[in-house]
Order: sequence, then C-alpha cells, then structure tokens
Amino acid sequence: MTDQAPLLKVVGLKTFFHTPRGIVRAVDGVSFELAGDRTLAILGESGSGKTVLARSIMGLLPRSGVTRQGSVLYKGENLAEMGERELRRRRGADIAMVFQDPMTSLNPVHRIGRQVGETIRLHRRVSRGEARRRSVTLLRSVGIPDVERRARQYPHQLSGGMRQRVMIAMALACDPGLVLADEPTTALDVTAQDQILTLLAAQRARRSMGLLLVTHDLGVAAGRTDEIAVMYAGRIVEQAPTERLFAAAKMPYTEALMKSIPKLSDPPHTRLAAIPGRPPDLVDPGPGCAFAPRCRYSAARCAREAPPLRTIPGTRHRYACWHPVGGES
Amino acid sequence: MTTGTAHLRAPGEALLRVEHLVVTFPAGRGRTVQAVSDVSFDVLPGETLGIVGESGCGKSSMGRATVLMPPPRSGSVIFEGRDLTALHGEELRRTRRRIQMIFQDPISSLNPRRRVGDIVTEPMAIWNKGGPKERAARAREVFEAVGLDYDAVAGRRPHEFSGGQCQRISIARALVLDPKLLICDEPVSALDVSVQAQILNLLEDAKARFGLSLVFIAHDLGVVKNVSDRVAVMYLGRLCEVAPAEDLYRAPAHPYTRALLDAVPVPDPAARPAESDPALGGEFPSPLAPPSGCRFRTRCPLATGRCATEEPRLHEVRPGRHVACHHA
Repeated sequence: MTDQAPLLKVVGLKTFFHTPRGIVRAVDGVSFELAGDRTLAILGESGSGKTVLARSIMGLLPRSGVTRQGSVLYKGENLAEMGERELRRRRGADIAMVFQDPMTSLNPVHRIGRQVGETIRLHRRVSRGEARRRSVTLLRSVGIPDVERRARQYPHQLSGGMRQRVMIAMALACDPGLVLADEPTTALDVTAQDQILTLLAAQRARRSMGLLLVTHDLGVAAGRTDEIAVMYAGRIVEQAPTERLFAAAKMPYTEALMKSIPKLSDPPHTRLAAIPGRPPDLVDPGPGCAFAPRCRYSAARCAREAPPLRTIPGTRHRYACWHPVGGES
Repeated sequence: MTTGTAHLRAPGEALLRVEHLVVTFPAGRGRTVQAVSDVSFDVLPGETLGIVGESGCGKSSMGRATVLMPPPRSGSVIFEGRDLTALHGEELRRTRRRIQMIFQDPISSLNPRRRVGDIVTEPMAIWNKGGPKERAARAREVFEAVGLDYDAVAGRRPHEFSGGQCQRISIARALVLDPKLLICDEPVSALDVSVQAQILNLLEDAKARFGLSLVFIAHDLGVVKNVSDRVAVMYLGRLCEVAPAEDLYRAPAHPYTRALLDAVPVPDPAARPAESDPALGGEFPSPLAPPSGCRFRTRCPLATGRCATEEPRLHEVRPGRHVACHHA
C-alpha cells in the first residue's frame, strides 16, 4: 500500500457534537488508509463512534452543533474542504453509502425501478428509457428475481433482504470507487445477512472497489474483510489484517470482545468471559485510556495517560495500549 | 395437519407441556394468518429450552401464547399439571404468576415514571405478599441476585440506567414472585456484545439459585447454544427439529437447521467461505399462503415430489433427536 496512493486516507479526523451536557467527542482523532480493491471493517459497539465516523467521511453531519477537524482524502482530494455542491456530486458517483435500515432509506411512495433510475440520472446524462434499462440490469445483478415485476413494486412490498439489495443496486448505480456500508445486515435475519454479505463481497471484487464495512458483529467483520479497525470511545484502538487480529490481538479490549461472544464451537452452558461495566461516556472522557476502567490489565499509568496508537515494526498491525496482551512486540 | 408430538416426554415429568398450539391473527380483508401452526413442546424442571428461528417464524407468538397473552386459537398449555387454557379469572392469574416473562427491549418494558424499587416490589403488592419489611427484604435479595445495589438504585427511574442495567431490573421484577418458569423473548438482542455476556451469565446464575426452568427465544444461534439444554428450530410456524443442544449444533439433521448454522458469521477468519454461495437462497414464503406439505420445501436442496404432498412429522432419528423431514 505504501507504493501507491491509497483510495481513501483519513488523517486526524475529529467530530465533536455540542450538546447541553457538554462536548461529545464522538470521533476523537481517527487516521487510517484504505487501498482500492480492499475491504476494511470498522468494528465497534454502540457509542464507539463508528457510524459518526462513516457519516463524517461522507460529510453527512448536522449543519449546526458539530465541529469537524482533520482531512478525508479520496484519491488525493480533500473531501473535508469541499463545499456542499461539490460533495453532492461526489456522493453516489465516487463514494456511495449503504445504510442499516433499507425501509427508511428508500422513498415509500416511489416504485423501486424509478428510485434506482433517479440515482443514475442524478449523476449521468442519460435518457429516462436508458436509465430504466440500466436500473433493470442493476437490479438483476444484485440478485432480485423477476426483475421486470419487482421494479414496478413499492418498497413495502419487498422483504428486508430484498430492500437491502435495492439499496446496494442504488449504491452501485454510478460505479463508485468506494462503498461505505453502515451495519448493512443488522436489521436482517441470518440467512438474509449471509446473502447480502456474499453479494457485497462479490460486487466489490467484480468492480474492484474499496469497501468500508461498519459493524458491531465480530463474525461479520471476520468474514470477507482484509483488515479490521477496532473502535472504542471514538478512537481506533487496534487495527490489523483480519487473520492477524484474530490470531494475535494486542489490545485488551479486542481480546475481551472476542472472549465475551458465545461461540458455536463451545459446549452449552460455557461460562462467558463478560466485560464488566459498560462503554464510557464520551463527554469529558478524562486523560487516560478509555478502556482502563473495564480492563483486567490496567495499571496506574493507564488512568493518567492515553496510550498512542503504535505500529508493530514490519507489520500493518497497530494498537494503543501500555500493557498489550502477550507483552510488547 | 400436525407435525406431531413424538418429541414430548412423559406428561408427569414436564413442568410445562404445550400441545397442538395454534396462534392466529387477523390479517385484514377477512383473512387470518397462522403464526403458530400446531406446535407442541415441553420443558422439564431445571431445563432450558431454546427456541430459534428467523423473524416471522412464530417464535415470539408461541412464547406469548404460553402465558395466554393473547390466548391461543387452540391447543393446551399444561403447567404444573393444570391446563391454563381451561382456567379463568382469579384461578388463571394465580397459576400464571409462576410463569414470568422477560422482553427484548428492556427500556420500554419498564414504566418510565415509576421508581425502580417500586417497579420491582409492585408484583408483591398486587399479590399482597408479606408486609413492607418482607417485601423490602425480598426486593433486596433479587436486586442482589441481578448484581444491583438496592439502596443505590431503588429511588431512581429507568431512564437513568443503561440498556443492560434495565434488563437486570426486568429480571429482578420477574424473579420477585418466585416463579418456576421464565420465558425470555430475545432478552439480549438489544444489548451490546460486551453487555450481552453479563446478562447471559446472570440468567444462568439466577436459574441455578432460584431453581428455574427457562424458555429462551432468540434468533442468535450462538447465544441459544450457550444457554440451552435442548433446542427447537422453528420455520414458518412449525417445528423442524428438536434435539439436545450439543447434538443439534454438532450434527444438524434438518436441512433448514443446517442452512441456519452455515449462515452464521463465525468470528474466525479461517472459516470464511471466500467466494462461496449463500447458505440459503430464496425468501421466506408468505405466512398467509404457506407452501403445501413441508413448509421449507420451496428453499430446500433436498426437496422431492413427496415434500409437496405430504407434510413430514417430527420423528425420532436417534434417541432424543427429532426431525420433521422426509429425507433426514
């Protein structure tokens, strides 16, 4: 990745919300790179800042009460410095987004085919007829059966899995270089989830896109990703190639998360290694490591001083911890 | 039509025995939808029965019909030897209080205007159990059992607590009347993974401490395996398979169970199917017009002509192992 410019490079991104309770540091200094043709999972629990991070990259934030700092470079161009008009041209055409809830992201009073066609016509100068033809092809490519009939249906006539396929078709409509999928399968059942993840992976490979997959599910992150970045309290606390993260997690939070999940391979009634306490409040987080109060390895320094994110030499593995699992390496 | 009762144990052994349960709902324009179509199951004392299935399979309707909320269209619910569906009024209420429910959304299932201490002691007030002192002592005991400090939390209201803590309060409220059976309907699916493990451990502890049996309804197969002794798999209002948890996960016999297990994203990158097809194609059929014969046949890789004409019954394929499939 060092020899070519990354598709997406986020540097020192901060997104703070001003609320009556104080400043919520939802994204607190996040930097990462994503090469084209790769999948990066952003893994975190609710409140970890993963969704705000995705929205912040897209510039989809409320108009007031928010401060954003840092840069978001897409193919070298800084999206964070672009005006709303310019950003609108980019969204959908260069970077597309798939949201968690397909029911609320689709317009309930327009037919499916028209909504996909509109997305195309928004960014490409094509006739209505051509847009219709392209949307039918797209809907077919995302696995919608009986396309001609389905294209004339309304969102409520489709199942959750089918609606998410429509969302993916819309996201792919203008051949984006990068897709941000924010919990794309959380509202779906396991069999539909499996179908959608398979579809996303296949389309990503076929179109050589970058995919940023935001999820809370370690299982979803483990399959079909190249790298995982773990977020906690608005920061990336560990990032590594997927296999390495599962084989040799350094950050105690990552380790604890992996151990707290019931595994299909464990016998029934296996005692789970629960993480005590709960995720921290992002208002006034204090100077130390945000995970320290719940961490089994924490020591005096952890409460005083936040550990920096350092890279293990010669690897793509970085973590933020004073007392990493298995010692320094 | 029925999928049978071969999987039920002797009537005398079971704490709860539900037979031929049918739950219907009006679906508009004079139509009805059968959410649960003639399902039977039982729970032994001290046992946890896990019920898994995808949304719309009828698992929640089945759990709720067990406490007659609302009453089933037909079928019997025999709890501690008495058929709840034959009881009325005071007698029903008295018997039913020994079954308690825990719901998915812990915050909306607590009254936001009441203090947490009152929420948990009110069931005792309704049943006129003991004096204020005994009630306070019992409340202390259940709060302690769910890992909350009574003195610190009793005066506060639900919005002051996180989802995980609210679920602890819901469990305390369910335990306070000394139930024999807890019906847990997706009790951890609204919680973060790091909190989910706390609640699952807590349910196991409460079960041992208070001598409970559990019906544990969930869509997450890993969670269900962790808590269950026996697991029933549901599809479109019917049972596909009933088996001891260990066996079911080691060697799923019904094609639907197999597909469900294959579809679970495993937190192990080595297990990833690189460019594979999805575990199960197609869509859930409409429950308004379920397929003839076996309800899974429209998506089943093993389906034959017989599956369309003849509904498979649950039959024992190995000791303790029941499957409703012609080809298992």
